[in-house]
Amino acid sequence: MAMSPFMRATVSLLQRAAWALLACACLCLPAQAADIEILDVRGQSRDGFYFMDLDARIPLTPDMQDAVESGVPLRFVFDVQLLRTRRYVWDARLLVLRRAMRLERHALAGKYVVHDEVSQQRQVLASLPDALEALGQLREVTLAELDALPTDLPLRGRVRAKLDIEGLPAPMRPVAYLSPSWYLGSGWYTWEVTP
Amino acid sequence: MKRRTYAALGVALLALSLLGSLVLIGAALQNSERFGSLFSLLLLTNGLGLAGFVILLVSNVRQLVGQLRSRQAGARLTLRMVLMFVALSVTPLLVLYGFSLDFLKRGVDSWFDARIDSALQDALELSRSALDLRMRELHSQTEQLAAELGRGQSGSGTSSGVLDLSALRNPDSMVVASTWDDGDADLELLRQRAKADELSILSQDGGLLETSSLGPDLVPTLPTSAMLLQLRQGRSYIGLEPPSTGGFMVRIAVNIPNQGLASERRILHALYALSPRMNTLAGNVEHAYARYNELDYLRDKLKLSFVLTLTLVLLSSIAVATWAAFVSARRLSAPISALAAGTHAVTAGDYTTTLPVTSNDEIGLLVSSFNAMTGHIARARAEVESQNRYMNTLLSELSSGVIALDDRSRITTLNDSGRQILAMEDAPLEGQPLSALTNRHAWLQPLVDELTASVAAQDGRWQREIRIFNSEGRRTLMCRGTAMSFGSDARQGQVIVFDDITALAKGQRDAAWSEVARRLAHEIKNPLTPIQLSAERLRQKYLAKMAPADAETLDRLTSTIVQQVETMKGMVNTFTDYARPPVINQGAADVNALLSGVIDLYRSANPEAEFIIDLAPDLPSVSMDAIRFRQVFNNLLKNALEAHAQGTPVQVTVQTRELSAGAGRHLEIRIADAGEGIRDDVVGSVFEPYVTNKTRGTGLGLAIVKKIVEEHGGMVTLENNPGRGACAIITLPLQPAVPASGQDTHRSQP
Repeated sequence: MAMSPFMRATVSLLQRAAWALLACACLCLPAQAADIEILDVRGQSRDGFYFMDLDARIPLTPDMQDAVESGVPLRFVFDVQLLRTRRYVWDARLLVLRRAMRLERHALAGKYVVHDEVSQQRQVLASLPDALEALGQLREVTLAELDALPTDLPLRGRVRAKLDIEGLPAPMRPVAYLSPSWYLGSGWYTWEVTP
Repeated sequence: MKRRTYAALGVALLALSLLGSLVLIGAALQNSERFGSLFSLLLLTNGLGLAGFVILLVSNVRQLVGQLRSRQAGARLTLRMVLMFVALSVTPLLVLYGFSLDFLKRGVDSWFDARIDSALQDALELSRSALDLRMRELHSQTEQLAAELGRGQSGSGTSSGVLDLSALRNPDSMVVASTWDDGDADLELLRQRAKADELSILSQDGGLLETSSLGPDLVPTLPTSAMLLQLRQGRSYIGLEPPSTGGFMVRIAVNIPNQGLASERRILHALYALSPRMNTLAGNVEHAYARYNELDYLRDKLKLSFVLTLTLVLLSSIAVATWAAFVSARRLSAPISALAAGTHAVTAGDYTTTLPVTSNDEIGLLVSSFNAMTGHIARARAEVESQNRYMNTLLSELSSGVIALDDRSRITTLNDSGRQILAMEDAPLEGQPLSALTNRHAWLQPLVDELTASVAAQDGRWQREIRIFNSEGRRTLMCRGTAMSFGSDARQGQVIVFDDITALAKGQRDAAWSEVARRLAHEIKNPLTPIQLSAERLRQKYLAKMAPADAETLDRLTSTIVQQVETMKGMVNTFTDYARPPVINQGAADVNALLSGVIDLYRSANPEAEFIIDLAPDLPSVSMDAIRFRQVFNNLLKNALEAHAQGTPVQVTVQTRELSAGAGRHLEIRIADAGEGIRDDVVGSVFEPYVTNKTRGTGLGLAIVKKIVEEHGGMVTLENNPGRGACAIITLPLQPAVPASGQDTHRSQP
């Protein structure tokens, strides 16, 4: 019942192929995950609240453009966090906020609609670049009441943006999870919070 | 049993949950709104469930391979059943899978048709055309309103201020209150007349001058920068706004004609709602087109997802079926495996094996029969063992040795007494051939040869006296053999019963000869003294009276009588000595020195004789009666000297050496002559009394030699030399010899 040399060679080859695939997946996925560029984040305090304005450049891969033109809405999420900096341990998270924006095309009107899922505001734009520009502009996002923020400790905020694959139609998700062209995101962008 | 049930229940639950999640995946694919958010989770759950099953299967396969390698009972049967079950379940699954894939692809493709595509495209175009027509009408209407506003403005002068609501577009800007003098035209009236939802007058840079709306919204909709740019270039903006909460809106922005050169250009911005009917129709067309377009785009992905789901279903089904095959095969083969293991145990001699009866079917009946069979065998074996113990006890209590041989002359039994008689250790001999007795005990070769010959002769019953020589000296065994049949079998073995009759034979022989000697001595010695006395008286009375010639004759005759009587007395005394029970005074003796002393006596008395002495140096001392052994050496040397014929050279060779082969250490003494040798007819009986090769002699010399040697546990033989003469060989055990008749040493003379 001992395994034949052919079987041993086959099993060894399959094992190597599996490891190679895993390694490729590990290498490829992060490589595609920083295409959104957060250009600037401006914090400001007004009327007892701390606001944030954000400008980001969001490019779409050809697959994504194709999907939008075909009427598939794309959902982008902005994860915002306010952190209290600590010296020896990890930073304490004072605020965790997710802002979701949806980009879709209206076939009859021939327009692109950028929809803010939190404020329910929408912008109708004539071209995709205008829509992407609008998508990358968050204005006056209320983060916290000033009273709730500590003034004697160093604070910092960080934000990142990414395409929400779970916001795609179900049949697209397996492909999106497995295809690097559907991984679109940014790294954390950090700024100093001065309430 | 409970653990297995729980495990089976757990796996069944896993299989059900896997099935449930697969159903949910299918539902999610068909309608994203229901389980769309769970799709990835379900897919992951399924993948993990499947991986769990695969691990379970790999574990089962490894277990089975291990059982096959260790040739565990039932493993091959399990393998066959698993393969059969898997083949039976997987084949239809694969067929179904293939057809399902085909149907799936065809089904998805059937959703899409070029005619539907074209129709939807046409419907969209038609809607656009209809909307365009309506938008052109509204544009024209807005242009008229703008012209009307332009005429009214030209009469009343310029605006004094602007309500800058660009902050609605740009939070950095400030809202400045202003007024708009529209002359005769009332914006609210204009809006109502135009049936617009919202009408606003804006400055060139988008600042709100005046607005009127249908709804309660205080914040008017403002044109975008791109629209303002377009207006600045002198072109009107006409656009269809996608519905948010309400219906479609038509947005139109036109420049208000400026009559006065100095006045600033103004913008009229209007929002019109479409009629409900048009809204509904346009919405339906838009929705259908968007849905179709999306589905068309998702066609390949949908197929892939369905194939993925179907593949998951297939793999899950195969995994569950294979696992079920393992469980079923193990459950079916378990009683058979248990039976095989039980049979193996019975083969190995364990008759206490009892298998649990788990079912009432034929296999259960088989297990019950097996249990009954092992019970019977165990009882029968106990009886046989009891009988064996009885027989063994009987055999061990026997003073006789017993060897039982099977039909191929292999030893089946050798009792304790047999081992003691043969001076053997307790090494097992059962199952070995008779010749195995000599493997470690070479002195048993004569016994083995005789037994083999007797067994081969197949005489039925036989009896034989066999002599062996071991470390304790010469032994005489009385062997009796009987053919033994094995029940109805034609094969026959042998039972050989043997006794050590060394002491008995010697005692009997000694007693017989002693009796003969005693009677002879008594019968002969009694008349000798009167004969001698009478002869002496005759001589004394008549010698002096007789003539010298007669006197000489009388003297010679009476001297002869007296001499012969003396000789006869000596002979009778010798008989008396032979008949006398031996009294051995043993002590450590140097055999070489003893021999040398005796040889010296004969050498001086026979100067013409040549003595060749070859005595082994460093011979150990031997426990013996030196006086009696001197008699032995005397007799043998005398015989050797007398064996030479007159005129022939006398040559006597004396050798001693130590032998350590076979039955321990021995001392061998060889006394050889160069005489005539022994006649063949007396070779076998020269040591018997009254057997002699010489013309003169009593015939007791060698008998006494043999008697003394045997009293010391030794053996003496006489054989012809290969060339000339004969050789007497004495073999004595080197360890302290126990006299064959034990009690002789201390027995007093009667």
